[in-house]
Amino acid sequence: MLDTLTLFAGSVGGSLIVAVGCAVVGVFLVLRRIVFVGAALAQLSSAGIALAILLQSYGLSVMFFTDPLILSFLITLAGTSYFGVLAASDELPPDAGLGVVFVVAGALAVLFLARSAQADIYDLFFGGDVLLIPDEQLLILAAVILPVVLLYYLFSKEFLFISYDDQMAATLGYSVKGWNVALFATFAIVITFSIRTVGVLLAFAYLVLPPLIGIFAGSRLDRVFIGAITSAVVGTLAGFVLSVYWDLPTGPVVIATMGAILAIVWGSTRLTRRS
Amino acid sequence: MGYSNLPREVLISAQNLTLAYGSNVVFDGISFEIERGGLIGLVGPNGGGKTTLLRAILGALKPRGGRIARHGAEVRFGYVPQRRHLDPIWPLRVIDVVVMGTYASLPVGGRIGSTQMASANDALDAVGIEHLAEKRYADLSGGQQQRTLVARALAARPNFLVLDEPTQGMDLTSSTGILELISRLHEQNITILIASHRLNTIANYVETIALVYDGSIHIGPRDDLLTGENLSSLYGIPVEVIHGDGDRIVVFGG
Repeated sequence: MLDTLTLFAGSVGGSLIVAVGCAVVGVFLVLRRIVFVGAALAQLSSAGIALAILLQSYGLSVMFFTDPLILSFLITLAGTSYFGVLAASDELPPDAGLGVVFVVAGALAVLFLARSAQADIYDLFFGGDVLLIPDEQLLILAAVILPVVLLYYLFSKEFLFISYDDQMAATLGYSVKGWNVALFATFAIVITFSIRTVGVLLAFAYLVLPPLIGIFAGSRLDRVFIGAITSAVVGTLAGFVLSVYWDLPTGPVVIATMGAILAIVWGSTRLTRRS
Repeated sequence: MGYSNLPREVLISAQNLTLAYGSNVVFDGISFEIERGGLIGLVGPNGGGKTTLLRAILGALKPRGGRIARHGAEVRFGYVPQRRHLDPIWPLRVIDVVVMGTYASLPVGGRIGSTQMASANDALDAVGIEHLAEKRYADLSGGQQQRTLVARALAARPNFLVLDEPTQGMDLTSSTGILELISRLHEQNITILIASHRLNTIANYVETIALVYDGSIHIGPRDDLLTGENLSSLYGIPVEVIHGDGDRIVVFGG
């Protein structure tokens, strides 16, 4: 087992950083019942990558703005600002706004790729090879995602308050729109870098499965975070080992492992409540 | 709104106030005053604009037109939202919810310390549920949840307590317990504004009634406003007010 983890140390390290980052922001996505925001942001991020590929295929390069990661991040950040304002607004049903972004961004990603000659749709949606994370990307991930996790620790009460009871928060003078935009910006950062590293499917799984495991296992918010992070780490490590052992694609095995953990925790919770 | 034996002191005044969500204008050009020390019942049908008015008073909703002003010494709000506004999915203990009332005393990024925990525990003690501090909020009964939210509002050390439908979904015993708790808080010189769609529930606990109906607001001392003639004229249906044992019962369609 250790041999496997040592052999793919860089990939395991990168995946663990992504896993922890997604698990932390995912707790808020799930508890705010806006998991679909994660899906919509993933689509926006994909559209950004596709647009960058399209621009590059036409030889259009505007400094670093046409780098897939940068353009993807900027577009996702713009989307999070929109969602942050939308969440604090009474004028539009939030799920309708999310639906619009999800379908339009998804369609644009496909159209951008259809016009470019450098990538295909499969690479976009399942790309980000877990086993081929270069060392420099590992450093970038650590430099970007770990500070986001630190922000959640520092501003835990602000993020909790505006998420749990925005009316009371506004009454006590909190800028609900401002904090919402900040919270959604953290979603953008983590989702963009995660998708670029491990692909849409695994990134989205990290956003949903570990937080659900934490919610089922933990009776308090701090324990929910601990449960989410722990299950993300265990699922990643076990997934790597099992994928090598069974000679199966790593990403789907990691997802299946976390799914199995979720089923066990959910079943245990049900049994405990009955008894 | 608000009448007492103390010298009249206006706490909040609204002039020509217009409140709207998008193209939906809820109030257009209403004016009113709230006096310090009052115990006011804001009554009207569901969807009649009570919560909108509360949000404007609390400063959480900007007026489309007109102005709403705070007067005199500092107004420190305590707000008790409708229980259904809070999602039970959040894994929070009672103490976690109550301590939120102290957040305004902390800087951005500040950590909860012994001072905030002491305030939260004092507030729980004041509403009689200190023994529930470690329980999960979502697992409590409706009455216990309401007391938790009142405690959270008290943890902010307010001089103006605003409650939105505090007895909604409760049985008679729990409703009475909450309203008696509110009456006790009023005796501690806290100005109180209660919004409710159930006139009969709060009619015997408040001094002043503010009736919200069809985009208008009618305010007056309870005994002046709660007459069959006034209510029949306001609602457009026969209404009778029956007095007995010092209490009033409003009978609609009577």
